[in-house]
Amino acid sequence: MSINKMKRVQLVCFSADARKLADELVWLSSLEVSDPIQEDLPELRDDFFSAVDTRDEWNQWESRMQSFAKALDIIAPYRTGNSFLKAAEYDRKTFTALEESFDNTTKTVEKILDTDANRKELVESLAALETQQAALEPWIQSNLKLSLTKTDTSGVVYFTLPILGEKSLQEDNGEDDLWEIEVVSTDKNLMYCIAIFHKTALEAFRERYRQKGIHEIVPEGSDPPAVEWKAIKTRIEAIRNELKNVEDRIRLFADVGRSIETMYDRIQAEQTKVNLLGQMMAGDAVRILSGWLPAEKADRFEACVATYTVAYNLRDPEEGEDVPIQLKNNQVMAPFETVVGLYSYPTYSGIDPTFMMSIFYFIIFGMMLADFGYGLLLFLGCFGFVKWKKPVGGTRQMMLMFGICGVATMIAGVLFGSYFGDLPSAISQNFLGKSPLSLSIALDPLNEPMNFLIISLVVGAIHMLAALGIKGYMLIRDGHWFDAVCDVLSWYVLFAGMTFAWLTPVSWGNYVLYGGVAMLVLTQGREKKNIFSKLFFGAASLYNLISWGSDLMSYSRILALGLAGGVVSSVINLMATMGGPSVIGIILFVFVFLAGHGLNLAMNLLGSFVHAARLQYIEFFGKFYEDGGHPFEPTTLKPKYTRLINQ
Amino acid sequence: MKFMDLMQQIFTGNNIAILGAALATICPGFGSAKGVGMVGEASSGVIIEDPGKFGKTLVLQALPATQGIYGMITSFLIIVQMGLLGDNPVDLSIMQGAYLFAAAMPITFVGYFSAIKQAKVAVAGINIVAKRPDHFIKGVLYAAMVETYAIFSVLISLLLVIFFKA
Repeated sequence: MSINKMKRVQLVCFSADARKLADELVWLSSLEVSDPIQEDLPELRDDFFSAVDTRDEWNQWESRMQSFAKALDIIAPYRTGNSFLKAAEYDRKTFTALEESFDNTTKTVEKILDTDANRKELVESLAALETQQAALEPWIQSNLKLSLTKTDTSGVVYFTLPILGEKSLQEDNGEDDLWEIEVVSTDKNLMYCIAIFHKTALEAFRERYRQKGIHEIVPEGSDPPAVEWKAIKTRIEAIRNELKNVEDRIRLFADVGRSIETMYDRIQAEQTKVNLLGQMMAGDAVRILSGWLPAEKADRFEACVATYTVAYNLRDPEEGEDVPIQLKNNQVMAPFETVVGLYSYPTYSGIDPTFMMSIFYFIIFGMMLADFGYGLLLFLGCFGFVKWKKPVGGTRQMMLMFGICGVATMIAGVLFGSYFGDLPSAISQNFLGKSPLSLSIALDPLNEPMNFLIISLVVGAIHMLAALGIKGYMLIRDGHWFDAVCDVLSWYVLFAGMTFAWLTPVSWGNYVLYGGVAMLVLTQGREKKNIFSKLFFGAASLYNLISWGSDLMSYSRILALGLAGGVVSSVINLMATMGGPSVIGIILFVFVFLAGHGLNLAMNLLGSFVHAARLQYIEFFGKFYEDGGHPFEPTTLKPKYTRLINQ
Repeated sequence: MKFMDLMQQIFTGNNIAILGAALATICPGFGSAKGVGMVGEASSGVIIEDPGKFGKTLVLQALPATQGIYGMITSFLIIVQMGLLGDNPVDLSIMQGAYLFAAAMPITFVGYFSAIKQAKVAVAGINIVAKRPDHFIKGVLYAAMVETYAIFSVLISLLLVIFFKA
């Protein structure tokens, strides 16, 4: 309904009090901080004051938070039933008191991290041993000690050959060769062989088999392969047991998950405080803080700082200052601020469009989705989510908005006779063998598309006229009466003239029409210098009718989206009821119904959301909106896992 | 004129209509498959860095899938109108078959191209999820704008098929 009045705050306090004051202000949650010296006293910068450097402290808290987060990740797989627990609630006293358990929790976190590091080491050793084990497997048949690679007169070589070499191996091994080859084992691709040779014959041996793809291996270990393999197996089992113990120890930590989460939020609160401290300017003994405060919170602010020795100043914003914007609307319309926020916030001197926009958004969204069943699901789903999961901030607003739009959808569904599309009719025809039903009260879009189109365009026309009206209100509010008459009233007269002369002809209709044309021609060129330019540009302004016309046609998308959803629903119902009233038919029905309507709901929900918003942004806001503000973001606590009351 | 006889036998009314139905499934399905695949590839890259973003990327991946579904239900409706699924299949004249073929054309063409383009916007949306996950809804809205034209085309196709008199 309105943009909240803001006050600029300038505060000077003693350095000793700065930290406690920061704590007070963070819990006040109503102050948006901005750079004091830059904006208020640029000439004092560097001479007397410098920025407070809190980076080290901030980094300390950040690294603590990261290790806490890491610990939570480690124990996460062992925490069951977590998501069903309600978030723990704290008020200011109990939350602040949490810092007493800080050391304990830090110790526990370190233990968790150490245990996890231990586990990682074990896993690595296990992997290494298993690789070793796999490398030894082909050689198990051999009896030779692995440490035996040569004697005085002979040598041993372990090698692999591609399998093709088998036959030629037999042929090659002539009597003359000073080596003996034994095939220990084979697998899919390779033969694993040992060659024992006279030490003079090594080169000749290598030469002979180089072509055949010989690959020499030096196996690790000293005992025969079978013995080594067994030893490794024992070690692997020992490590596996120890790994199990370590996992069990980690599992025991699962219970402390809650307290770690709570402490994480507590640390984040400290970090927020440090952030606020960092935004102060420091002199020798004082700190300066500057920011924006909603005017209605001024009393609470004064009470907050009353116990400290401070000097402060609250003043109204001046022209041209970049004031943060906080919108204020009643409970039903506030959720629609989401739509405004997605586009852009108004400037401080502008207007809060939420009130009018929410009414039209409600109507247009309903007309686009237009189904009782979908609306009911939307309504129950969104309000149920808000009640059960208690989201905060933007998510909560969006859910509430969709829930309210669900009501509009239900109303439109009843008017158009759409209950999951033509489901009652499809059931009556295909399951019960009776005639098709028509449940619509106002009109059936599929049978009377032209009437639906006309209704959409009428809604669009009212929408745009309302936008023009808001423009007129803004002009009058700022005292520009003449502009309001010329720019807004003349168009109203013209449109009234068009209605009474052409749409619903009355005898005096033409006079109104001429009056409107005259007003426009005479006033739209009033900025120009000479009489000819004035009249020329006045007449040329009638050309804007084209853009009004195209804006109006834009509203035909209400027909398109409304109809598309309905038609797709009919086809889904047709597919679902094809099986007839048999067992298979019922199963088919349930399956197709859930999949088909679920999909249709999702797609149409998205489409309606986007296009209803688009109509607001382009056709509605385009006529009067002054954007460019930034949203009010007070320094406040944003806990991830807990809920804070009294905030 | 053996060739002409062959042509006449192939292009009966029924067959032309079935050809339309086939194309209405082929082209949008092709586009959706390609599109959903493109977004899936981009998503996998994001998940490597942060597996927690899976839900958001899945939503973006689901967006180009709708054109395939629209094409499928158009084909389905054409088949129903021809009576192939019931007990009395209708014998369509060439003109009637051509009508159903033409009715399938909007979703055939627009479904394919809009699926590809929507996928490209969705891939850009995956970038938004990677760098600024809080603004992921804006990426979804961008992709949803492209869907408008698929909705329009399926609307016309379905209307034409529904109001077909056998």
